[in-house]
Amino acid sequence: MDEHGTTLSPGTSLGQSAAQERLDLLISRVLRLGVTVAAVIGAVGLVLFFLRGPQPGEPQSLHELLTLRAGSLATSPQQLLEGLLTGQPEDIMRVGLLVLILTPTARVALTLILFLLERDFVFVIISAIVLLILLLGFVGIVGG
Amino acid sequence: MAGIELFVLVLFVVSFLAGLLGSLIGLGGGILVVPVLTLIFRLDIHLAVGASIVSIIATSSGAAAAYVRDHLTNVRAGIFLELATSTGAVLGALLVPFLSSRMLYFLFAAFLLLSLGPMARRLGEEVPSGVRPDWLARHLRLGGAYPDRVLGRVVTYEVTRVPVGFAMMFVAGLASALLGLGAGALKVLAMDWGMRMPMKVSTATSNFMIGVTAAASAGIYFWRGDVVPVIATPVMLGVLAGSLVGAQLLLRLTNRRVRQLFIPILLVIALQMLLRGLGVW
Repeated sequence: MDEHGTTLSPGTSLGQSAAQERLDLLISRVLRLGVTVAAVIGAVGLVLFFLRGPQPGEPQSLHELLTLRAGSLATSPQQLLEGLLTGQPEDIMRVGLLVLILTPTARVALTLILFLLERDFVFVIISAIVLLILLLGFVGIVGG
Repeated sequence: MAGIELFVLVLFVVSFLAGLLGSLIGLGGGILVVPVLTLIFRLDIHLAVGASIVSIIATSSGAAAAYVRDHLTNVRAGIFLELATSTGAVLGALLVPFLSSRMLYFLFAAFLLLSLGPMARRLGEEVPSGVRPDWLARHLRLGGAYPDRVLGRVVTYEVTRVPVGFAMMFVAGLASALLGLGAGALKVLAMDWGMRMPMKVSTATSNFMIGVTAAASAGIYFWRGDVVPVIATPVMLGVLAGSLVGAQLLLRLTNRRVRQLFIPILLVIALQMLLRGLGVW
């Protein structure tokens, strides 16, 4: 792993349990995967944007972009889906950003499962509440 | 049209630098993104906050993945404290449409200036000693151990004053959503000053929590239309690349250096945002 490998390597030298070791690795992987997928989708959207220019309904010039007012680009799942089906660059970027937003939520869901496997019920409840707050913040606004 | 494309490239480069610095000082990187977007590019602060809050998830997740793998993160303490930050964040995101731009500039400046004082006073403490865990820390088993590469040994530590840290984390969640930053300064403070955790563990755990805190408000910003794709995407990609480089550097720096980097950067930004809030600049 690195030059200090033998003395400070993960696992037994830290006195951590195998379960803790697995949890750390899995969390690390989920975070990395979510961010990587989001970055790839975002990059594809950007390349398309450079090729095709702004889609209708989005800022058409730099001036328009920089003087944009808050709330004027509100979107919905239906609009997003329609844009995706026609390959609109901005909507592809939106999907990348959505994947990013959902990555920490996936991490919380994952830790909930791992605490469940460890039968650590206090932390199962704690993770479940955090997950609920995240989903309320997200879904509550989509519906309304 | 070419203007937008050049702008996108400039945003990417600037965001790379913001991500690098942000990761080194244990912040989301958003602390630099919002000032850059508003002070240099004169963007509506609400939209700057929207782009920033999403980019913060990338910074923190990229760096958090590295810290968790290297066992610097206190996962249990992080998840417990996320109860406070995510509640504060949802509340903040629902509040933000009722606040004017000038109010947000003031809050941004005030928030930064307030986090400067405690940082300067306690400059230089590597690992707190003689910490006795309180009732909550004992029952939730929040203490831990981490490998310190600079000290060359595994450091075990206890956690105390959990309610103090919890309350500070609620405020951190609120500030994160209102101002589009990870509130990493306050999160680190809540852990290393409030709960007396080692600086490096505080920094790593802060990064771990920032993603969840930001995600709690980012969904609300997203559907409201305040996450503009052409702005948020290059910012996200740049900040992510910068934070990955920064995370590698942090493992080779001492805690003291991390803090020394912290202070002058925050001071300059706070003063600029204050001037903007006053309408001077």
